[in-house]
Amino acid sequence: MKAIECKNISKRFADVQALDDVSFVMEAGGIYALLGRNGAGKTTLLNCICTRYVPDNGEVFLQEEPAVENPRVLGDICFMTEHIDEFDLYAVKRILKMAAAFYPKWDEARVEQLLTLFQIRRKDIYAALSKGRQAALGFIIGVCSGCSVVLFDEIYSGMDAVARKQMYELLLEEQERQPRTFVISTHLIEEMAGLFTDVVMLDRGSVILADDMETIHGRSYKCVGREEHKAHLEGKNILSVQTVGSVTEYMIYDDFAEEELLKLRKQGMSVTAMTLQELFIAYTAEPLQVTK
Amino acid sequence: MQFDETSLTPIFIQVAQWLEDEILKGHILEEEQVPSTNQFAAVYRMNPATARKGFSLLVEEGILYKKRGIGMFVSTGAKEKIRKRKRERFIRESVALLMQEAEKLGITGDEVIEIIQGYMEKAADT
Repeated sequence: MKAIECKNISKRFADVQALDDVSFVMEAGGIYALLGRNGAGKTTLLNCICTRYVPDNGEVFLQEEPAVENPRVLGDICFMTEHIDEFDLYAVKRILKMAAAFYPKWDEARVEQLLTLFQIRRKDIYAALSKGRQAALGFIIGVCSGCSVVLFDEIYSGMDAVARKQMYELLLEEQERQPRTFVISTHLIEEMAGLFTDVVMLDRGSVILADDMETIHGRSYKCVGREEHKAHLEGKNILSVQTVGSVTEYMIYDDFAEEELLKLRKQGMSVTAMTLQELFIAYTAEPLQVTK
Repeated sequence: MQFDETSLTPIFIQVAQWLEDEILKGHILEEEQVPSTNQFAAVYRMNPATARKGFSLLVEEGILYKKRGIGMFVSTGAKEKIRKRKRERFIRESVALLMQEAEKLGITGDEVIEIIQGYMEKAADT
């Protein structure tokens, strides 16, 4: 089943086209990475998905139903960010009580365990919590909401390495216990790459890549050789070229047949896979003009 | 163990290879239970679907077998089966790599044989 479908979503703020004709499908049961540089439109997109924002154009479907003013599917989606202004004045216990009343499938049994794990006390006032713990509370609510679709916007912000590790493990454990669809926007690509089943990449309001991780890994190549090796890469989708002296590094997102790889190696090129982080940088970085 | 994102080998195959290596090294014995895919996924911070795919590959190949409701176990004879296959892979890939590297350095085939003989004599001495 399709958990989320966006059809031709556009959203403009004054003179900024935040989203420009965005279309994609997210299948139920996946852990999706939403990647993009600062200002690429990730948060706007998440806000559109949960209908907090009304897009100028296009339509959002949740669990294959139109999302707008649809209580069934909107009660089954949870959107949490690193910090939620509306929580500031309240104690944790009050926030959790509100969440429990709001989400029909709230998992109270799990709450206590997660609070202890992230060292959050029910009596603490949200605004007085550290940044990492505020984010952790958002994560806890997302997990305990019991919603079929959970959106996390940079939920790791401010968390220390231990808290993040716990969060990743919990996420995987949750996904096995009660499979649902997670969409996670992140800049910690290297650290989180292994968690994801799929990736949607945004650049300046447009989707530039939407693939599953296995396909991505199978098409991401880093070929290193000399400038003149470029002839052997003709017709391939070269994302970026970087030279260090006469050594040239080509980042390529394309299919290669086994014989093609063999031929490249024979020509003296070294071929490895490009990591998700390298792919992201190759796709979205502006070429740097180095002055000599 | 870190699964290598920069290798051209798909991650689920790296998972299968990891299990094969552990069985070969004797860290997991025949008829012993292997870690659950969830446990494996959590420890190596990997999507459980990927881990499952790697484990399933070995089930298909008869290296592992499933006990309903309990988990996966190493088949009897798995070690020998892995050793046989790895031997073939060693001849096909590692030797090919060695010869390529030798060619790059201008070392002839005869010289490689000589080097290997010398290596073996030295290893026998110690």
